[in-house]
Amino acid sequence: MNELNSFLTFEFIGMVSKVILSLFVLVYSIVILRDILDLQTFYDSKFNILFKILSFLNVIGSLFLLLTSFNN
Amino acid sequence: MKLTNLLSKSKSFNKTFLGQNPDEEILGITRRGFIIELKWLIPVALLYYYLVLNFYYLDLLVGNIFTPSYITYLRVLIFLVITIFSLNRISDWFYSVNLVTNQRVVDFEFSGVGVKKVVETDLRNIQSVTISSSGFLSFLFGLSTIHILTSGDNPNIDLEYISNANEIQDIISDLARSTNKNERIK
Repeated sequence: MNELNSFLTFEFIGMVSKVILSLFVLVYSIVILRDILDLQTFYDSKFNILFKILSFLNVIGSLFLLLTSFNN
Repeated sequence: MKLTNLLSKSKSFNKTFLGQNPDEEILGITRRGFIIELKWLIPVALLYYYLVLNFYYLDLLVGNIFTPSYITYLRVLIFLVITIFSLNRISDWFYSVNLVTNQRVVDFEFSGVGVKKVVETDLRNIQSVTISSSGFLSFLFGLSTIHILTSGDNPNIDLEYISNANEIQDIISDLARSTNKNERIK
């Protein structure tokens, strides 16, 4: 019981919640990237590239957030 | 508007769409007025201001529960979620276009993740084109809905919250009339 208590510290729970939330954001950003790639039935090259870049940056940002969430 | 004017004007649309035929030209492009998007844009902007830009309110809400590093993490998380959501909604608005070509009317409609509806009808199937406008906001910002009634089992098309509705109605009815006339001559 003592071992379990020492394992489930406040920092550990904080880290796990960070990882779960970051994973959710990462999945959400990947889904949106996929959706934006699928949406482009109407070709307007400038905006197509802009939307692709922005959604890709979101994926990178979410990935970065996930990686930082492992550190406390 | 004369059809010759329309055809000369069509050269300015340097855009294509999925499923476009080689001899098909875009004569009119329209999408719902951006003012309609304010109903989600305003709450999102407020959230962005109060939870991301302004450091005071998030600290006030969860400052007693979480550590400063966790609050910084939450701020970045909220920023990403808001950005992703806004990008999704703006791209949905941008790609939900109504196209009038020299062969058909196409209505691309996207709402939310993976929700897609594409309705098209040939110009020769168009029976009538009517404009309606109702509601205070539509009146205030000059937005109308174009109802395209088609013959037989073909789906009717509603182009909602259009700002240049008169111009689009004119283009569609002129094209439908000339197409039907050509069909009769043949």
